Amino acid sequence: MGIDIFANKFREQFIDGDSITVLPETAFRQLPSWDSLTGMSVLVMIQDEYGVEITDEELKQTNTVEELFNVVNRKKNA
Amino acid sequence: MQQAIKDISLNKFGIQQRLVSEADAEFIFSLRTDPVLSQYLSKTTGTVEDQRRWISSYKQREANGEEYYFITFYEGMPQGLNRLYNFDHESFEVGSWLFRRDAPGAVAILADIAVRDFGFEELKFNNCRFEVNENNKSVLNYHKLFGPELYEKEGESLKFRLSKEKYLIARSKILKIYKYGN
Repeated sequence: MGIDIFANKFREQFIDGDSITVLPETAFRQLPSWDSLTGMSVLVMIQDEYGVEITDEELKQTNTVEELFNVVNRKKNA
Repeated sequence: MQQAIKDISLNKFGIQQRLVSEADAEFIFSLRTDPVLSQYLSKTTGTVEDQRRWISSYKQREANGEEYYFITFYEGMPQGLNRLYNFDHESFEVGSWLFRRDAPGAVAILADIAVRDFGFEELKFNNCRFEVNENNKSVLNYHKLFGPELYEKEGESLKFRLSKEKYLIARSKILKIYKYGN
């Protein structure tokens, strides 16, 4: 799956996902509705949709949607 | 009626939980009267002394095995609360999930998992119920990760039931995120 689809799935985890814009370059922690529960939803989505396990600590090492997507891809292709 | 379990102390996932006592009244009152934290909870009025009296009354229900109210500690500091109550023949209700604004996000989530584990594994229930205000979008999103069944809507209150089987599937995913999965 490409990054645009990933960004869309990422956006869907937000409580206001219908009204925000999430792009590959989005610094997701800057989004007003970002919180730890949203982060967990994103990581569960990644497990479900990509079959990849990303920990909370690994998520903390990323700042943009694209950076997280790259981590997912690296693990998927490992 | 459930057989009461005495001297409960949960120590898993890097957090420690024990049953509340009257000495926790001030901490509980501070969380329950925080206008942001408590906006979707049933209202708490009165004073710390009223809270202490409520806890005293609760301790009798605890002694009867009817209710368990946990306080969670992380790095030696109290962080938040969870409660198991309203038991019926096959399910427990989980609620009063309330954590300090500055509590690490993982702590609140792992505390929820730990008390649900207690309800399923120690109290031997097969289902878990919980109630969420439909406007509490963040908590609603969290609970939906478990795939519960919505069985009633009363005003703004959504009532869910979650089977142990579905709980364990979501539990496994969540614990992997916090490196407690296998």
